[in-house]
Amino acid sequence: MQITTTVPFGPQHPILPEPVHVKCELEEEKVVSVSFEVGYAHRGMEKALETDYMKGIYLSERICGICSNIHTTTYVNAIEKIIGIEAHKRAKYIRTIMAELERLHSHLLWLGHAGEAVGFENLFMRLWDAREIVMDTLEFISGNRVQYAMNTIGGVRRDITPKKEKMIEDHMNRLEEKMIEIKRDMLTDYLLKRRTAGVGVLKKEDAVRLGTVGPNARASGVPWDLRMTRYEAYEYINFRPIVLEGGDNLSRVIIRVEESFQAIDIIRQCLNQMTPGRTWYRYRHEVSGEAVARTEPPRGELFYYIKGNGTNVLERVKIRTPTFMNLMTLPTILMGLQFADVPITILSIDPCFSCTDR
Amino acid sequence: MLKYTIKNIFKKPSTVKYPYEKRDTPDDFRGQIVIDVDKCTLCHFCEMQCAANAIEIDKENNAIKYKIMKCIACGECVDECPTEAMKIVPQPRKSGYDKSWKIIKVPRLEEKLERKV
Repeated sequence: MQITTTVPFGPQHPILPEPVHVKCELEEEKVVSVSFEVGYAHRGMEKALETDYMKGIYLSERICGICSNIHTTTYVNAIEKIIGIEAHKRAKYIRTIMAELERLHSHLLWLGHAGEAVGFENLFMRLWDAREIVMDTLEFISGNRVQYAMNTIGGVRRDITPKKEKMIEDHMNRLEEKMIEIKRDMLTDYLLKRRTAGVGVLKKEDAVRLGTVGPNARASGVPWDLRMTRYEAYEYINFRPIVLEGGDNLSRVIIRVEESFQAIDIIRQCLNQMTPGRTWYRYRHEVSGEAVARTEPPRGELFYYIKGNGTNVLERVKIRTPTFMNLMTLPTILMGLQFADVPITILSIDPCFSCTDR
Repeated sequence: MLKYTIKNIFKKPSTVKYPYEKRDTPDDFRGQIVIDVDKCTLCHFCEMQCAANAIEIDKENNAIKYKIMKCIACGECVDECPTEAMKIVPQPRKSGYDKSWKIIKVPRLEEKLERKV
């Protein structure tokens, strides 16, 4: 008879700084059953958002540390839908630039973490060095490294001046140079390939059945990208979502590298297409009615439902974050793995628990 | 990979040696909020707009109460101010322990007029 042992992963683990408790039952070294618990970082954000809708912009920004701008974009989109206004065209471009810069920032951060998890510390250092360029760009545009306070109802609060445009272009050129070198060293590396190829496979059928979103779905061959619904300025931009067939950890690494290059390309397109104009107007109105907004953050699909009751205080805000959907794939992809591969596989879905718990 | 390693031996470090060398702050850096008391009319706009409830207007004592520990430096009060009495300057905020309300006295209208005369 086989003896099963239960080995916990988290809530505190050196690979994943965020709190999640994954219980793995092992037979010798093989994972036979997985269950997980979330909710360690619950702050009651949805209840707190039932406040003045202008103040809610800054509160929704603080739900997630990394994808903070896209949270406000979705929130603002929903409010704009209720009121029945649309942002100025230039503001839409600026929002798109911010979203793509944030995607770069998130993907580079995750790739660094993945390098660290497989024991490739040099890659971690190089990627975080490259990420610093993106952080500087964000700081020069918005005046802050993390919480940008860019979006408002009806547009964005800071314009991208010609000086800033030139700076973004310079920074993107520098970043692309670095990224080409890193990509070459990364994808030809023996260690990374051995640790990730064929590990944690998520088949296309499973990805569809479990409702996987974002880069994880695209790495399994599901062509699902909400940017194709053409919100904000994506309707003017020429791009196709990148889809890979592998479904293993290596595909999830490659797709994030490729999407980083795509993000640089989208930022350049935005800068070329932008025309001068107004970026925002002050808008005050009672919010009555309800609306839904969906966007594509770096990790998958973000959903906001907002209901107003005719005053400026909101009645209900419901948020569904990408990690909530992607977590459901954990039991499938962890089953049958060696325990040493569990950390990198959990990390490969790019989990964010401060978003999920809210 | 080896090429990168050899190249890196002759390169400057990408970090900044902080106390001796400082990064320059960007133009739009959101540092401290400065209030010009002569321009302030105690109109409550900043208080209503503040997402962190860091500003309170005390009309009886003619004062603005400002809590620096609560302020998130979003700049919404600066955008909202009708008389442009509030300004955001790109000097980094100093760290501190003081959690009390900072009381900024605003001169009454008569005082302002007297000074002009």
